Amino acid sequence: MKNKLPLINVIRNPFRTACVAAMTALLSFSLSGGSALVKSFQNGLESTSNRLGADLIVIPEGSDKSVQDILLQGATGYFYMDSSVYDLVSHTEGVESATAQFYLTSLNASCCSVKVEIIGYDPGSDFVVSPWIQSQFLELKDNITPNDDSREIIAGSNVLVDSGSIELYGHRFNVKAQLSETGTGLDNAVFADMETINKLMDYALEKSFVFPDETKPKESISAILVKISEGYETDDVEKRIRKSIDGVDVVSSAGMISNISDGLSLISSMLMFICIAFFVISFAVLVILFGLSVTEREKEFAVVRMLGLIPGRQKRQYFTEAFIQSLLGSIPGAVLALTLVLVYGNAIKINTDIPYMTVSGPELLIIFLGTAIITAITGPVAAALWIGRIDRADPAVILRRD
Amino acid sequence: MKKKLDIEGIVFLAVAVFLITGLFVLFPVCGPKDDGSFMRCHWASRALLGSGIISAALSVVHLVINDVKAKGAVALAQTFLGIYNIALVTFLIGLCKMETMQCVAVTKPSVVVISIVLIAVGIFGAVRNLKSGKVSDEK
Amino acid sequence: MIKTDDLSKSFLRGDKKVNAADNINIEIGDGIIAAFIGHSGSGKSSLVNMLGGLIKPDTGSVLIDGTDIYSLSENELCRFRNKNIGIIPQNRCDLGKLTVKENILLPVSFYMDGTVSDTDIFKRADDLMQKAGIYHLRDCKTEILSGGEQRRVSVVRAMIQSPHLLLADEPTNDLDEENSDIVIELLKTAAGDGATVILVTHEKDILPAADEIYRIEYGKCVNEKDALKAS
Repeated sequence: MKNKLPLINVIRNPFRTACVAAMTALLSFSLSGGSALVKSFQNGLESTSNRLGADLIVIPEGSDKSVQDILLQGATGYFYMDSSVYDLVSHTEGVESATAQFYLTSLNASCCSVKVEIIGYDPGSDFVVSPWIQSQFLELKDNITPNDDSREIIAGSNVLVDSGSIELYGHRFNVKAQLSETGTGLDNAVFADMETINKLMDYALEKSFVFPDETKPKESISAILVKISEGYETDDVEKRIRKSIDGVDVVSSAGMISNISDGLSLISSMLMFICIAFFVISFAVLVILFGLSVTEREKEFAVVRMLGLIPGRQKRQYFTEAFIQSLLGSIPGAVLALTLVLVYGNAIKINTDIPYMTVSGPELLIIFLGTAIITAITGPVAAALWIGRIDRADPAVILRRD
Repeated sequence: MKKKLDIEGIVFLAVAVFLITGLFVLFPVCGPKDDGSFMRCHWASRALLGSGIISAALSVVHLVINDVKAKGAVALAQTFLGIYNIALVTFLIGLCKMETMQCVAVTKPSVVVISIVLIAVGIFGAVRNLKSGKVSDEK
Repeated sequence: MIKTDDLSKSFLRGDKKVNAADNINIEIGDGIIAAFIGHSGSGKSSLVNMLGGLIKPDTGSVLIDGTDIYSLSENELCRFRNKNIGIIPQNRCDLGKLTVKENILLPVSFYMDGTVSDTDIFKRADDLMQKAGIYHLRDCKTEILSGGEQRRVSVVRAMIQSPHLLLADEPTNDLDEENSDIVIELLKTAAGDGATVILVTHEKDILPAADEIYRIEYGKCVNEKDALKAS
């Protein structure tokens, strides 16, 4: 016959159990939700760092904010400079390689009022987009040429592909492949080679797309991605480019990552503060709850001792009870928080300025187990502060009281 | 005779009110297109509004009546409404296709979470009341 | 059988030192119902608590079937008390959230040493509940029972493991005649099974049920029969 006293006490004292469970649920909710959010932002940061590829990005003067918005937040935009800038940049001392990109935006898509960023790149000199595409489809083909057909494009993960194609400026383009999520703005972009871009420019003009004044679209580029030679400092090369070429701005990837990192640190600090605050409040309430409970149950402890349960087992029962009560809160709390982080992932992504990539399955499991266990033991820890009262419960004295 | 506190009824009503107000305030769907026409999500939202109003009315019925079996039936109806809400935003009408659209990013998960609560409380209430040997909810 | 050797215990009441037990030497055999009587504050309950292993005496020993209970470690004493001593405290001591049956079987569930099978123990519980007239209440939580019913639950619980020593502190206190009679019958049943039953009481009506009567006064314990003989 098993001693079911801890379980009976948990089930038949629903108010007491609910109070303890509510506190651990609150704690587990904040801890797991906070952890999942921070990890998702970290994933986004890591992905951004991997995807940016270039050390420096040279853009027309005044476009530094725009290029960051495009790359990091999935905003759409376009800006141009003369293609001759490319030669100047590639011949700058310290530049190992450079590749040009051309940015265009689509019209509003037919189903929804969201534009798509179109990024044209030169497969011949590219060292950012191609390796990324290659890494996605290495298993399928040894040598991917994503744009065999000049009516083919590669789409980012968030781009809506309808029956294997997407409409741009009234013309359908086959989507050769759709890339997996990066958590960056590139998820909202499509990629095309320069030949395809030239066609798109014509289609855009047909649709009365207005390029900025004095822009000759087919003689323009939007950005030059630069890889620095070994032995050269990024800052020095940046200064050299700014000095030697008029009308350009230079953005460093390290700088962008650093900015994101700062933003992430701020969010992490805020979340940590919230977690600590919840922990302190929950723990304090748990200590009070268990204290009140021990006082109320003095007679019960005395009876059990009188009936001959050894003190060690009595304490074990008490901790078991506290653990079960805590677990009843910590598991639902974690489940709720993680469910909300998962289902609202897209909402978080579109409403924050920081790249965001939802935690993977294994990461989710680790966070769930870790937070559920940690918060489940806060109950017994709070209960442990009152263990002396159980020891001091003298059956002879207590049972004489009415 | 004193009536027991009808926690399920209160939860049903709270959920229904939250759904109705949420559709306007907290998680509205996308607005009209440039040409003034509405997208699919607009019509899904209207259907959800209707569902929310029915849910609210049923909640009031649950709160007012004493008959335990009838309460169980109302709880069952709430469960079906919850399933219906999820079906509305997934395949019955559906929402916009792009994941970054407001309706997909915010409205859909909100409706799903609210409906899951409705379904869970509905199932609990239905099982508890329909299996109960009691006739009345009074103490 | 229970035997004490020079059992002594004193307490401080304010500034005054009070002898609850002063070199008490008693020996009560198996199957005997012994009543402890005396005025309030004479030390009856303290003596019973010492016999039950709940209060350690200052000096002396308590032997139950040859075992000096105060030579045991705390854990050994707890186990010993669980198996061999049944205690019915003066005040209510059931666990209100447990049912009658769960309360009664509680001490059995502490140690599963396999000495008695579950079937046997359940049968014994049912038999005792029938005798106590609480069988129909077995699935009710004790918090809803009357005072008399709760007392009967306490008695049955104390008897469930057929203890060698049964200690009842004012077992018929606040009970009506019917409940008192049932409790006394249960104590007689325990004695009939071979237990040494010690009951503390100040009710003269139940004294006829006792085989021996001991008067406790100022820490001294005198067998009334022996005292009568001596006089």
